[in-house]
Amino acid sequence: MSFPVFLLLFPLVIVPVIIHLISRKKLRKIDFPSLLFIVKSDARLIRWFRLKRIFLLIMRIGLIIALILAAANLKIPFAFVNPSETLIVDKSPSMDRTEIKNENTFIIPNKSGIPQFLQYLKKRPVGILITDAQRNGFIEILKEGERFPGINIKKIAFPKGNLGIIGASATPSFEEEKFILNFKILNEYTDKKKTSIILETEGRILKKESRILNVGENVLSFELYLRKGLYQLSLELEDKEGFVFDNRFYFVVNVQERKNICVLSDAYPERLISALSTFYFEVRWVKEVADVKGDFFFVCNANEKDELNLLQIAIPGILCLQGETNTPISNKIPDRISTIVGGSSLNNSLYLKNLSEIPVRYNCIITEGKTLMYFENGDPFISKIKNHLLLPISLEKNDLSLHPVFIPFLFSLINSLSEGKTCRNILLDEPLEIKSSTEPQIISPRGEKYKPYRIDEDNYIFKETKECGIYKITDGKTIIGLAAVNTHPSESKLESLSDEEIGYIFGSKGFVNGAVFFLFIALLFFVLSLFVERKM
Amino acid sequence: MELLKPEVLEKIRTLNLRAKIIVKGFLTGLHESPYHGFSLEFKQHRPYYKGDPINKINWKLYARTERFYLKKYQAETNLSALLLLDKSNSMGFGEKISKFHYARTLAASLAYLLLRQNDSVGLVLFDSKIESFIPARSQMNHLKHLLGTLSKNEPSGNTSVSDVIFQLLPLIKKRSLFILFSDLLEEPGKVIKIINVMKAKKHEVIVFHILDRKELDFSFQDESLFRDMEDSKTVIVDPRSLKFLYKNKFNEFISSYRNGFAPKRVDYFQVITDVPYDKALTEYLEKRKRLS
Repeated sequence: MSFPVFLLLFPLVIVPVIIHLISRKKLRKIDFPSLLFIVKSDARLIRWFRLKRIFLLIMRIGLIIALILAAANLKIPFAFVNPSETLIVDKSPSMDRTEIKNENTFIIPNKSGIPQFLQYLKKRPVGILITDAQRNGFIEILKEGERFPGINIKKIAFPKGNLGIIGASATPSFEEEKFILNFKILNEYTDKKKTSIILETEGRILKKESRILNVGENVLSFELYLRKGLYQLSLELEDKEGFVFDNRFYFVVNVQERKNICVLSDAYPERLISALSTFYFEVRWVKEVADVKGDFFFVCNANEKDELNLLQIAIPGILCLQGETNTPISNKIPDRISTIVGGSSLNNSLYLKNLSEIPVRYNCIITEGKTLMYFENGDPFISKIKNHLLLPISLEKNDLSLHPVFIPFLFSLINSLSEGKTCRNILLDEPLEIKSSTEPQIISPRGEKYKPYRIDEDNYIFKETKECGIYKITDGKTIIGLAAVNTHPSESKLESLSDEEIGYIFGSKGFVNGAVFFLFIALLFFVLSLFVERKM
Repeated sequence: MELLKPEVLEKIRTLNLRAKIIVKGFLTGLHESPYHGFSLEFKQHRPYYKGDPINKINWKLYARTERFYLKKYQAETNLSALLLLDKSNSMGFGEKISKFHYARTLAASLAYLLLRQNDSVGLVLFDSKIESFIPARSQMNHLKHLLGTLSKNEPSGNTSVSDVIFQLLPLIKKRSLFILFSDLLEEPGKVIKIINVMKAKKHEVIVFHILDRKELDFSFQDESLFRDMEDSKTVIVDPRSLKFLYKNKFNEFISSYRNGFAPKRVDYFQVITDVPYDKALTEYLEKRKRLS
């Protein structure tokens, strides 16, 4: 905060002038005949005597001015840093991962790296920023470079807009069946852009086509028919203006055999069976527990009588509880509406994320088993007992089954129960959770090998996802999973740098606080004047 | 001798009295007669004429010849001295007694002493030009004229010894003794050159280099504004930090005069204004003895 009112004290600069004149008047005057010999004795010393008083006057005036300016706390241009000390290189994927190895180099991996970057900047003055300015904040800085006279901003490319893949989703994939892969692409140019799009897997081009992208968000859908197995997919955009951005997006998919599902219900669950049958499962309806067969079973509304029997079944299944019983597993709770907030590794699934934003009416609390997901109020939403999942909702009486994400959600649940191969799509620096009975090994896109950290008996976590690409998970011999690591969507969304970020990076809007600076200058003047006065 | 201290004598108002006190005090201290070599010598007798003073009659000759004769003398000395007194502003420097006042008293004393010895004495007062010029006379009543001129003048103008002597030389035809009182604050080379010219013209030269003690030791204390007494230039200096360098320069200046005068046998006396006058007179007497 500045106090310009203190500038009214500027007339005080006359005080040292008056002192100077008085001291000169008070000076003893001696008429001397041999002045010539004084002058000849040491010309430099004589000059110094003459200048000393002028120096003192200047320094005293400077001291007063600096104190007034310090009191006024004016902002001064950020032109006092040494720009040669630090080289800052934006190493976001849009910079095509160019390595610049220098001990003074600091790299911004992506937006999530900004806090670390800011911590670094607090300790060192800012130097040269090399960036392709793939954020609106940088664009502003480039346009207003004069705001930061201490900063040498080197432009590599000046974008007129931006084109980036900001997300991907896929329907469940089954062998030799239609598998739909959706990519969300953001066009921030002011006009439509025509671009070539290449979808490939492990060097093999699956699709190559030319698309026109409208301004704003575009969804590109690809229909694929894949055999059973793990697939490493990547989508690449080619911009005809030669502008390189995060035009490569990685995606992994686990294509499985179609599963046979047995639905146990007193009445025919028409809605559920039609939803499940459309794409994903071979569905069979049974009325008796004894008739349950197949790869997986599903119970629409389990009551107290059925519950214990169902838990004895060997094949994995999902039990939707009616909540009308008072068993150790569930107790009677009035219907409530809550929101799912996540819990264990399941919450990273694309579909569960969407589901988590949906209010869910449930009517009992599961008090036993391992909780996989929670409601917002802390109540368990999904619990696991043996290889059975328990949901405290009645699908017959709940609208959840009508929700468009419910089937993908069920698919994720079924996958988690069947303990298939790990197949994850995550962001840079996001930890990768791995389920494995043996100690897994991670191979980075560059071929570097890592050992993940063991959490408990079968769970491991790997935190070093520092580069975009496909990470392979092996048991030492075979690949047991894949993880696609992509940049954060904010890299593409061109979010502006906040004022705080700009302030940290370049000083407070290109200026620094004047109080400390001018106090330092005042101290300097004071010490210098003492030195001059004492020396001679 | 306490009486001959400059600061004591300065209290005596008239220069005449001051000069007499100095000379008499000085003579009292001498063991031999200052008149040595200065007496009058008999030339011839002449007949007495009416009106001649009776006490001048040579009675011994009257006893032998029974005629009145008077003795006729001829002055033995032919010394003509010219006192050159620098009255420039720089001579006005001095705390208790200025260099000019000291030099003036010294000049007056010498004039008195010289006239007592029947030498003729003249006076030149100068700064950058000749301000007063009184030709040499040997009558005692000439002293009054000399002292009157000395008393009237006070320091003014700039020093230019060489120019003044250059102007003066054509005016002095007779072989003379030049007694110069000055602080010689001028380029030593020029002064030495013109003095050498004087020596070449068979004149004798005595130089009294009048200095103040403070000029020599530069014993000022606090930072001060020093103003030149002649061209009014000023400098602010701390004398303590300059003292050593100043003294070196000033000693070089004095040495250049001393070394410059020595080969031509010019008598150079450095006189400091806190030194009693008789010392200066002794110097003079020694010189006069050599001349006689």
